[in-house]
Amino acid sequence: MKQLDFIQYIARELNISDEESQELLREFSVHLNNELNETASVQLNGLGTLKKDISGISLDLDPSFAIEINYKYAGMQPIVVSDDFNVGIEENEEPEVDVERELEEEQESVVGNEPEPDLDEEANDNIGVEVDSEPEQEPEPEPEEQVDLADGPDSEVEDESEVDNEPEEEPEVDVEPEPEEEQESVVENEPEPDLDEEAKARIAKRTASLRSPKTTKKSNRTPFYIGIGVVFIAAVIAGWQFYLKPILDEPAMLVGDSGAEQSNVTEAMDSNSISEDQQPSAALDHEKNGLEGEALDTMVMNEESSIISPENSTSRINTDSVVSAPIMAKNVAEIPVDQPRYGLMGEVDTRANDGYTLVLFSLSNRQSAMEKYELYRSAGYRSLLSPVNSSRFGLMWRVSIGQFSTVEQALEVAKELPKDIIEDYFITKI
Amino acid sequence: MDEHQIKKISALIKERLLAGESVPLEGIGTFSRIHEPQYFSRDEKGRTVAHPPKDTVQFSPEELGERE
Repeated sequence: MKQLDFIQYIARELNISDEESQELLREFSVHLNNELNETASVQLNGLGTLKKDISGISLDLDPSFAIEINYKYAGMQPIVVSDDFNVGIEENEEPEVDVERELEEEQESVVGNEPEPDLDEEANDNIGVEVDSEPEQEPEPEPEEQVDLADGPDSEVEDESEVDNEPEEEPEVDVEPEPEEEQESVVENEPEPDLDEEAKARIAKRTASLRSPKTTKKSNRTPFYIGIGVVFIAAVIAGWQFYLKPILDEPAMLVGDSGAEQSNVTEAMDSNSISEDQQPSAALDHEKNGLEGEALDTMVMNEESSIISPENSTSRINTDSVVSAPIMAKNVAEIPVDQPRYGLMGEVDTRANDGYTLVLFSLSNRQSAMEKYELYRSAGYRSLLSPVNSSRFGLMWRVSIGQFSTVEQALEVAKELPKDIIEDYFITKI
Repeated sequence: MDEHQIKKISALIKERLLAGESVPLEGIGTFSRIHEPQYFSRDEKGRTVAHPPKDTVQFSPEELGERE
């Protein structure tokens, strides 16, 4: 828009002459300049804040306006194109676990006094590395070493046997020191020969009593985990039955029936405000120009109907939208037998609705969306029409073409399409 | 210039921007709607992620030489 066009537009909207409009805009510019020079900041209602600093004048867009201007992309989420890299990372991580296991085995073999000296050195080195790198396992050897230093060879033998039996379990760390301390006190009392058998009996009894809680402790956790699992499964089933299943069975329930949709949309906005705004497309620029005035009304509707708090940001635009399955898809029976499940051309295959599609338009008017849908369908494309229910922008209609099994496939096809068919598009999950 | 007039002009600028047009203001600069097409990035797991397109508004201050 040129300066003169905007002057005429202001004059038309405010019912004033072009000269008055020009003078008004000049005063507006002077006002902004003065405010910027005096306070370095000027608030433009609903638009944002102009700020002046050393680098110049910049605009901080009003958060609600930032969301509003992106309404065409409501419900569009970032999607993972390929998880091949992720698989690679997982494959790399697995050997580390194996190495750890090997190290543990080597450690055990060291405890078992294997004769090969090379292995012992390696194992000792590895143990040192492992202790340094994995602090979680540090507590285990520490108490044992303390006991080794404090006690005689008897307790050392006991420790080794315990390491052989259960080397990895952390609870032992908490439990082990107690009996060993008790054993220390018992060992200190050894000079009295009368108490020797009694002490041994007490040690055996207490050792048994200390070991038995371990098993009961483990067994007590199982029902707890089972209980959590049951509650979780019940919650999932309840969610499926009462929320997701009705929506999936009848996606139209999100928007009501087609007749009601139209009336609802019409009621939601002024009858003159039913219009569209669309993603840029060279093929439809003339339509855009023709609908320009209507588009403005729609924008006003969006502004009024959207409840947006100041703290909202553009990143939250995708959070309150529900994209339903395409409602214009044909039945599987009408699809030609030789047609592949996925592709750009042909009839829409409902079985391929688990894939991806090229979104071309997001329209607020159902009739306009139907026209676009028919336009591409008659041209031989697999044309999809999906309702998008946004809490901010109300009901919208998304027109897309193609059903692709992967994002890569959709990208390849999109690259080959002429620009007059798709100038701007976005790949999204159907 | 009163507050009412400022609000009206601001609202009309906003409408033009929502309609996809730029709005020049003589002596100040130009408000322009900028379209950022979809783009790809890598997440922390190394996966390629496609991000949806985005529209925003940019203000280009008028250069001194631009004023007549």
